[in-house]
Amino acid sequence: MNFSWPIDGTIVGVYLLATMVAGLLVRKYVSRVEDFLVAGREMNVYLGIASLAATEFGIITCMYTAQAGFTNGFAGALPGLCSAAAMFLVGLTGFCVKPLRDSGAMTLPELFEKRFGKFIRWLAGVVIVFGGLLNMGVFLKIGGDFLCLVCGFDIKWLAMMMTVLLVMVAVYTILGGMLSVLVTDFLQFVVMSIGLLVVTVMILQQVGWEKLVATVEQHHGAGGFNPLANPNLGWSFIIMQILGNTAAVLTWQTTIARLLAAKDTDTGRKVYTRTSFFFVCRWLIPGLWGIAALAVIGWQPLKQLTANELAKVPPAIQEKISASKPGAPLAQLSEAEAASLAPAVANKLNDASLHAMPKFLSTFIPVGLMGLLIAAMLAADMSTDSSYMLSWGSVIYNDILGPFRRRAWTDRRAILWNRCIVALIGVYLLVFGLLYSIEGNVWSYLLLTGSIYLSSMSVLLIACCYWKRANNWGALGAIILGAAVPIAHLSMEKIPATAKFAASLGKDAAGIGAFVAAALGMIAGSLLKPRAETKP
Amino acid sequence: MTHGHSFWFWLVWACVIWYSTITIYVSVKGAFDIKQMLRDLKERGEKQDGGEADKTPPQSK
Repeated sequence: MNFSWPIDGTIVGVYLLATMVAGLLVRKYVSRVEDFLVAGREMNVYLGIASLAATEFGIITCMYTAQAGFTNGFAGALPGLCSAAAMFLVGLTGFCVKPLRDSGAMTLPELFEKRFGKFIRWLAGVVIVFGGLLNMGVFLKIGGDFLCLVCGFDIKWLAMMMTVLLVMVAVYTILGGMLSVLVTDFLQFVVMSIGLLVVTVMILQQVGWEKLVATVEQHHGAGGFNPLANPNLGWSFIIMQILGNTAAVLTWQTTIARLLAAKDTDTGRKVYTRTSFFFVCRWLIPGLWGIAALAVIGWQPLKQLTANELAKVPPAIQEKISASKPGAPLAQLSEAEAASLAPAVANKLNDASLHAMPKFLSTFIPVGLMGLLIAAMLAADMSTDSSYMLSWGSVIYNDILGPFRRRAWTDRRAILWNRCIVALIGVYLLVFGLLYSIEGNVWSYLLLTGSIYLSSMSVLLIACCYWKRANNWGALGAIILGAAVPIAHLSMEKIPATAKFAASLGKDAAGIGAFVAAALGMIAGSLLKPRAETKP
Repeated sequence: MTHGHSFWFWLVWACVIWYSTITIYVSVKGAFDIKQMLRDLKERGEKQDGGEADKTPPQSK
């Protein structure tokens, strides 16, 4: 391991100190709840670009995109292309985002109230928060995993690493809200970008394009370059990426928070179009790191196990695991063989592809640059966590608790409540991160949990903006059906009797099912509701 | 040079070049944006303190 406390530790310490000071200094500008939630709608284009890019790239992003590169080669970067295309087109045309920003709403459900009534606003808030919190619940643990692996710390320090990371983020987010988030995002964007670029150029120079291409050809064949030729991807994956990424651009609370914090609609749209290509970088750059990990350390899942654990795995099973494809260590085992492995051993083997990139970096990056890498990754993670905590917190305050406030609150009281909500989300993150373990691919988990609300909210938003016949019956149908499909799939995965069926369906099919169900719910519900009598 | 995969080769380099450029550009312009944002917020706060805010306390829904 190349982490040196005196050199790398100092670089990380200086970065953390600068971030905390910047985050805390701007809290004095927060006087109204609008300042806390949307930075008083004073954000301009370049700050918006920095903030959006920093928010949408965390350690979790780096881990799952590197995993995608490791397990699917260059073809694994396809979601980035879909996301960039969606963001560019939405920014260019103003599709949905123009009416949303023009409405002056602080959250998506606030817009829905105008069309579908108070109950739908409340319900939309519940679904957004449920899907969003389930989604971000794994961020902290994976961030802690990365830091432990790269620094060479024992995994027993994971819980402490998670807590320290969370407390630092929570302090400035609670005190300064969106203003602190924007200012620290800017600083974090700069540090993160320098780190990402330096490591990428080093990989291209030292590992080399030829070796990267040869590795992908050797392990993935044509499927490593073309998603349609890849058995892990294919059409269902591509369709889900197009649907999921378009819906995320339109409705993902942390993304639209930048639109809603923008000075005006044009500024918001410019932030979208000018940040769009970043989403290609967001997938391709760490994807390249994942491919480099495969090229340098290879696919050796059994190395994840301790000597004791390895001794308990029969030689025949060991042989099959060694011969497996990158990212699928248990794919060649029979049902009985897979069941014979202890759950902890199976989890470690499944995590091999996720942990490959940080393990590779821990030996590849020299002392001095390691500090820059850690600072960059901390920057990426802190900006993501702070924005996510604030975004879901704003929906809880604005839309879920809103209907229970009989009288208008003073700004002071409202800000206090928002601070308490952000703190509670922090506690949830810590507990969930320690208790929950993901089955299979991290990106598919994130997209599936996101689709609990992405499917219904995107349908609601499009119908709200462009379909005159849409009404509250349709909105209710879309929310219920859109959430039911992914929740059912996640539950089936955890129940032993249905786990096999859930796996055979796949997360992509479940995600597409959620979008179809939400659209059908909206159409059927809206058409079934009798039209109101209009006076001549 | 591209080893038969020119699409991915040029896309990777496009990412590196675009990202380097945007990092420098946004670092400079973003700093001005922050300065402007804080100045606007300060001015608005001062107006609120001295103007109509003395009659009715700020309310949030």
